[in-house]
Amino acid sequence: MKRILTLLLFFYLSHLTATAHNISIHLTEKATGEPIIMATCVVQPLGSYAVTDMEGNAKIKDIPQGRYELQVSYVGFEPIKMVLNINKDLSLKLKMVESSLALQEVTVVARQNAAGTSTSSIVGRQAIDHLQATSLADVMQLVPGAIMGNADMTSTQQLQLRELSANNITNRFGAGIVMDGVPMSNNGQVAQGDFSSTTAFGTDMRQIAADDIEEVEVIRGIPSAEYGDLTSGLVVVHSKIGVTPWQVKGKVNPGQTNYSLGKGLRLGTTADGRQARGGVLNFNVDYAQAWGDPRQKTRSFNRYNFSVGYGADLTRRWHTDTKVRYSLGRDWSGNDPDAISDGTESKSTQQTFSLTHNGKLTLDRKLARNVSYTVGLTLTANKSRNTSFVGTGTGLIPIITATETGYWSIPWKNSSYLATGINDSRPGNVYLKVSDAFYLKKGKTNQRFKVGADYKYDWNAGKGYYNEDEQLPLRPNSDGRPRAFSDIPGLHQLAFYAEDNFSWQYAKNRNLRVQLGARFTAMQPFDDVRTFALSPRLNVSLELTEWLSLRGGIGLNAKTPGLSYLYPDKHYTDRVALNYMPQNGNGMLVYHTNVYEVAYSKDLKNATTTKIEAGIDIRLPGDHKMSVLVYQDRTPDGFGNVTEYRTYTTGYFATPAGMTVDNSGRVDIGSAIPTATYMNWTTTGRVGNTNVSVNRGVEFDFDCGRIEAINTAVYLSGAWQESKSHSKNLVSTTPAKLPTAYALQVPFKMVYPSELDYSRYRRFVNTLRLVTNIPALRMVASFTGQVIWHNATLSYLASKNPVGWITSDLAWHDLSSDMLGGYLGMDGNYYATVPEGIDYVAITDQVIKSNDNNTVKNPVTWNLSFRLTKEFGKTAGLSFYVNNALFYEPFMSSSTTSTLTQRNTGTYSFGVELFFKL
Amino acid sequence: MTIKKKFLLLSAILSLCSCVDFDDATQPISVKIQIQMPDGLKAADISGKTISLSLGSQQISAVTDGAGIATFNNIVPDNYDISTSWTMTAAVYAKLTGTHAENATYTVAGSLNTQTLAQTSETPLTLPVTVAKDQQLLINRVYYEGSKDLNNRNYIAGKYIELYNNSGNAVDAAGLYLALMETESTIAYTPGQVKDTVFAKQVFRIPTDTSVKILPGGSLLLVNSAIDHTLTAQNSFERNLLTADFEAKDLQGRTTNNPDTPALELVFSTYSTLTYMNLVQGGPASIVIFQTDENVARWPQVYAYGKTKGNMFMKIPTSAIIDGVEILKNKAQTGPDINTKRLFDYTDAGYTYCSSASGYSGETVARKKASETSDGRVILQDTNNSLNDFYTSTTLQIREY
Repeated sequence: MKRILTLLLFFYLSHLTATAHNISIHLTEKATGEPIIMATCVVQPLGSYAVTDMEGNAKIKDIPQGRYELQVSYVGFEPIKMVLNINKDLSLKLKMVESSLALQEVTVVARQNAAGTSTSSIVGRQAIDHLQATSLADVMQLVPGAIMGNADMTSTQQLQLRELSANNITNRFGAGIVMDGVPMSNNGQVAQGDFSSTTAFGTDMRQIAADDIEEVEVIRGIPSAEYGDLTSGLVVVHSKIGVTPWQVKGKVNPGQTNYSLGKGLRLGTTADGRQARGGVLNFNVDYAQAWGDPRQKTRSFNRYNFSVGYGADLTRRWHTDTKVRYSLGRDWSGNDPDAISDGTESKSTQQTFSLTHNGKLTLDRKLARNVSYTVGLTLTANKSRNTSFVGTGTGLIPIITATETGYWSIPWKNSSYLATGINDSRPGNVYLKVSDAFYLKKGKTNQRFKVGADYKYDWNAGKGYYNEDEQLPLRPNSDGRPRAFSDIPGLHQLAFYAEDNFSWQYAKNRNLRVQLGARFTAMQPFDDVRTFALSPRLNVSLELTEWLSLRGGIGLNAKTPGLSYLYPDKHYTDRVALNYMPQNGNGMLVYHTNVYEVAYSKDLKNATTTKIEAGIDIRLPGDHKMSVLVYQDRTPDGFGNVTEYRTYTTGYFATPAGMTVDNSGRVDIGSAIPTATYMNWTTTGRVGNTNVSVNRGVEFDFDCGRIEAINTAVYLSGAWQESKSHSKNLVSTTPAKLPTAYALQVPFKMVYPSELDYSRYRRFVNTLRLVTNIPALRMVASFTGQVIWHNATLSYLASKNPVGWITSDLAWHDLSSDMLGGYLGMDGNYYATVPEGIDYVAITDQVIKSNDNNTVKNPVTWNLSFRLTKEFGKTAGLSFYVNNALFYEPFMSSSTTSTLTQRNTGTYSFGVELFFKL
Repeated sequence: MTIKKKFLLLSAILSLCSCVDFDDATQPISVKIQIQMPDGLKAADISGKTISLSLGSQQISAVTDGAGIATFNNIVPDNYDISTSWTMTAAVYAKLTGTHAENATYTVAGSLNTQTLAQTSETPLTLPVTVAKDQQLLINRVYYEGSKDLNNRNYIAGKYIELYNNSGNAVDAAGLYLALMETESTIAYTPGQVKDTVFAKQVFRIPTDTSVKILPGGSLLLVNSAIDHTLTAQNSFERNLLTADFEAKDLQGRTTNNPDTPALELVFSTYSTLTYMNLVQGGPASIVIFQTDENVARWPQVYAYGKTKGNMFMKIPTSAIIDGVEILKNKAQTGPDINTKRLFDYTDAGYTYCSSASGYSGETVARKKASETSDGRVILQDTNNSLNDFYTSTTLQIREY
């Protein structure tokens, strides 16, 4: 690292001879002539920037001679992009125009990013408004390949990128959301009970109110090296900071309502209107309520969001943005209010307090042009409370609460009872980041460097899982033991990154752009669980001709396992030892409890995703643009189960004669003689990197330009995607045709080759958007038609011969192909011929044959939606939408069954939004 | 209105009326149904036998002539269940077949389920019948539905099966096997896919360490939990099962077992750790009892038809079966699906079911009482057709007929 820096320094110093110039900008609002404060001015590709001060002035210093693009942006205004030839000091007077439907330029679809950087889609404010999004989850449907529909606010919405399987926990855990520069960490989330391959610890997108968002960038490709702790991709959310009018919005549709109020105001103006110090204060209040199905009020979600942002220049060179947010989400499900309440319900509250502070220092030093830093603090309190009846099932509910290994005399219930279980999780996160950006230029090449470091600390201070009455537990068996989350150690994570954005204008208007970076992450560097990851990343684009450019990239992302996977819960196994219930009432129920604690998931590594992309961008006459991208995301070490067997024996007794019980309920078996001895097979509960997933596909985006005669722009996007995953875990089963007498004393487990079975999802989706914008009417209407041409799933189970068996002493025995005709005795030994005097299983019966690996192909379905936004002058507006406008919910069968299933269900919805700008 | 116009109107009305063909309306029909005896018994007298057509609760009967043909006049076209049954004495059976039959009667029975009778036909419809030896031991009660406890939660601990000695002689049930037919959502094997074989998910045996004498009119109660369920479930559907003869012991510690009730031996279970009788509430819950000297534990086990993985079932040869009852799942709108029958017609020509589609209704299926002997012994109906022989009840006590 040091050597590289020295080299870079040398390279840089040797080119200091180039002359440098300053750009002065004075920025005003076109309509009023008022200065615009805190607008961002960036000179690309150098990345040199400045923020306008209270008089609307900004100065960008030391720009080497050359040709650049100046980008100026501000909340609620149309961005300015202009090409500058810098050969002397420049003084620019720029005027910005407020975004409005009265303008020719209206962007209500996702824009594709600039060449030479990560593949991403950018969704701006106008698009979010037109979509009538309530939360970040709604915004995601503008991404190529995403399915349109209604986001159901009554259930958790987790982010998935380029993933078709609903159950890929690594992808959901590793899909990052960066809010105003601070990653929303999910590392502090902890679960109670055994590892579940379906419980994902992703971030709930419902928390993020859409009305407070200025812009969303969905990075599907290889992200910049400054972003880490992710696998599949990330969403970068920028919230509003800047002077804005009062904005009042109300959205209503059959399933939900949403109201928000926001304002950005200028502080510290003196009596004569002159500005000495001060800044910009933004606030936003938002309330949303959702019922899943208005006919059946059995589920609800309420969300309250409050945010205050403060932007200020501490000095001429030091600009800061600070934001404090509080959000409260309440989920409830229970009996319909019209039905008889039996007391069962589940409710949960999610409270999040977060502070983000971003500082930018314009130092204008050669190796420190712009230094920025971020401080983030997030405190979350999630409390869920579930009340339900514990059913008798087969007539006896053993209430097993032992937390130590041994025989325990336990109480029981013969009829159902009402119980409440509470989960109290309080993840916290501290985030610190320092970044330095500088550039150098030689001839026709530019290099922009970013180096930085970040530190993350995650912990959980929650009380964890417990029952309201520990004598009446909600889950009175092995997966319902209390667990305190606050006992789990915190997680430190330290990362360093460096990135070079290189551009070379090798011919007129033709550039080669390279983004080369690397990121080094150390998790828990001084602990047993430490793991490191080095993630190099490269994005390249080359403009071959004026109309054709190529791009490609390769990069690694790494996601640390987080507290939940690193520190799994204790593994409890309970076996009945005595079930003695004579009619005279002196019954006794004894269970043997075995507790195994994995102190931590040993050898658990980061989940790393290798992303490879190649694409082509074509610029056709008439402002037509087309881009096609091929990608593959491979995660060979996703999180999953590890089968690590343990065995132990317990006795089964007919009567309690000979046993003694102490006050705590612990049973001393004493002289009691078991009628049977059970062989118990259990696992350690460790989590490993056993899941392998590969997502690949082709994404395309065709901007057909605007047909002026009908004021309509046409966009066609789509994606063919495949998600395939399998497990590297041990494949083992209890032998087939095991004599019934051995069901509870399995003498050995059969082992089969791993990695032969997989599940695969494929989908091909086209989305056509027609956007009609009539500036004179201040109106924009969009029609979106989506066709799912292909939607297929395959769960492939391979035929396989056993390759070994594990006996109860955990010894491994190889089973070669010439042994297939033999027998395995219940003593665990191999016999070439039928053994005499002992029970056995034939090895030929252990061969797994598979004959129904059929791909389930779903029929072609389509969906049509319509949206309209109309502004009434500058102060009011109305939006209206209908999803699945033709109410197309047909009954169709799939390729493997004649059963008709209703398609497109739940996609029909309509709603209206009214907004005022005062 | 001119005369011309009136004429035109009249002719128009007439021409419309002429389009109505009153022959299209539903007409009563006449059908003939002929009994067809199995090979070897063709010489039997099939005159004077009663054939019944049933449609819901309605029943129409007609008596056969010398050719075994019954004629039904003036019936409404519909889908009928057709059935017949009568008893053949041992002497008649022996004369017809040339075999020696001792102290046994035979039931001749046949049925055609959901048969469409739509038009008058002179050609008689054939009703094949089978002949089965009347058994001494019968399955007379299956309580598989379960109920709801005080908190309206499912209660399934009180399930039981009752066997009944329908003969005049005492029977020793020691070594008798009980098999629960597979209950896969897609039927594992339809009868006939494998000749004379049915497929069980569980097989139990009555222990052989002591003799288990059942007197004439006596019964054998097989339960999962031999306790007083009226105390735990607290509803009118559950019974006090303290007098149960055998209990299928649960080895998972999830059922209250009564140490005073002897254990029913588990011979085979598809679900390795499920050691109690897996009677599925809502059905299907078809059951057979059988007897054999072979080592049943070594009888072959197979996957469902065409499958190479999943659950394995034990093959039970029908030659060993003493009695069987076909219990189907009732479906909310369409009723029970006869295509899901697990047993051959010669084991049970019909089927029975409970009214609830999902179970927990407290219903039990019970065999009808046919007659009573002079000494008060109840004879239960056994026509080898559960549609005729069984009914459902929520009030019957155990060992009540």
